[in-house]
Amino acid sequence: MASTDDKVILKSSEGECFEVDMAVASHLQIVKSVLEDCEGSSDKVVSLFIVEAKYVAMIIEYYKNYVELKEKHEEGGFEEKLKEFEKQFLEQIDKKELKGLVMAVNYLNAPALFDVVCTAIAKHIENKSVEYVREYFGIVNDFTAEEEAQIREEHRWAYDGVNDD
Amino acid sequence: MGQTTSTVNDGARLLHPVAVSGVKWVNLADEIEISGDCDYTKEIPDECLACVFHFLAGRDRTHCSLVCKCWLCVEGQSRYRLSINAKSLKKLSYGSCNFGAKGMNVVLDHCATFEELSIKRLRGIYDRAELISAEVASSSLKSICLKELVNGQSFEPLVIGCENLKTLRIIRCLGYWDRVLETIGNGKRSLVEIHLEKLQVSDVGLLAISKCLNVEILHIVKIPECSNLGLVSIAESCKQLRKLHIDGWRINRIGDEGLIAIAEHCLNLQELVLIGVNWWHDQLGIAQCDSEISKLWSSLL
Repeated sequence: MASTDDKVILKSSEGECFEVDMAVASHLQIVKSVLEDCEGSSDKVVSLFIVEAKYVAMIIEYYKNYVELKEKHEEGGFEEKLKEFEKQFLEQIDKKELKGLVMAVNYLNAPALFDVVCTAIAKHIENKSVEYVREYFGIVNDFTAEEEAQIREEHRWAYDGVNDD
Repeated sequence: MGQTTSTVNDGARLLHPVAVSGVKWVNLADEIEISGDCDYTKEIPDECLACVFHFLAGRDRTHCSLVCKCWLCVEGQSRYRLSINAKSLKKLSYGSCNFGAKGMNVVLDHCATFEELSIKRLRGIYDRAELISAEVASSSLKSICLKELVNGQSFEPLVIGCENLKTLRIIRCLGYWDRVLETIGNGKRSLVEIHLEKLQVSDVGLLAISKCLNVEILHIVKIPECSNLGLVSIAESCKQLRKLHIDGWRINRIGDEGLIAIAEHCLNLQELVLIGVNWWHDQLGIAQCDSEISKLWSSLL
């Protein structure tokens, strides 16, 4: 088998191309199903329309490591090693990027990474005040003062002892 | 924005025909604003938000529901997980809750230290489709109280499975309970206290109870099908009986014969409460027995 057979090109919204191993790309369900539909075609380019290049790069980095670690630790220890890597991986992504990434991953339908990113976002808003969460996500409060007061009253126990930030 | 979810789906569909290179790309990105700073969450589809909430505990989820109306809605819809973070939970009591067998089983499967369980008007159990059992908590559970349940028989495996059950209270639960009592009667020596009220239980059920030789406290309240026959069998075998409450509901199925048997056989009886029970026999024969009856009420009309 020629090595080009095992490669696929992913094209970002800006038109930037990324050459990836099939083993990596097949973790993106949407890419997988496109390629299955186009079986037999010699040129394999999949456009990821709405995904920016930086997110394509992140997703590829994650699954590249995922595949490598899985191969390397076939006999066990894969999960631990993956956890280690995920920690490093998340450290280099800032808060804003996380939000872009979760949408990209959701669009590409990549379950493993989706969980990782959702957990990371959840960690960011864990034990934070409502105001912080609003600011973090850039949300405008659309409750009236009375509505908010009512919900707060119903859940009074939840508002003691949150972190200041 | 706002229509992001549907646009994403369109994108997915469009991918197929144009995925092979050489064809001119339809670039959806031109139509979609990929912004840096403006309202980010509007872009996050509800299903993503729900997944993020999934990783949060109860208190944080409550915070999230206060962020904006959309979040309140998503949070409410995706709140299907009950987090109980107490490995040493001993006593749990539900009243008018709206979850089903699944929720019950999850709780029971995670609490190996459960001792007391009280369930009143649980509304989420339908048609006995799902059964509730307690493999994890089966050895620790000592007390079960079921009250006003429509599909109480869903709890059959739970009641039957608890090896060390001491107290069983079944109150105003629909359906036949004879079968449960029969299964319990076969070998359940741990039971000390049984409280039955307004149930469909017949003498078959009482016969079953008579096999629980260690029963000390028994309440038979407003159970129309129970008669002297059942009571006699209990009197003859449950020698440890200390407290007996009977509300006969003025149906006259429990009377002289049953009470005389109690007087003759239950030598440890300390408390006897009779309500709506008609008896004619002089002195009830209790004077003849050796036991010390500390209380004797009889509301006879």
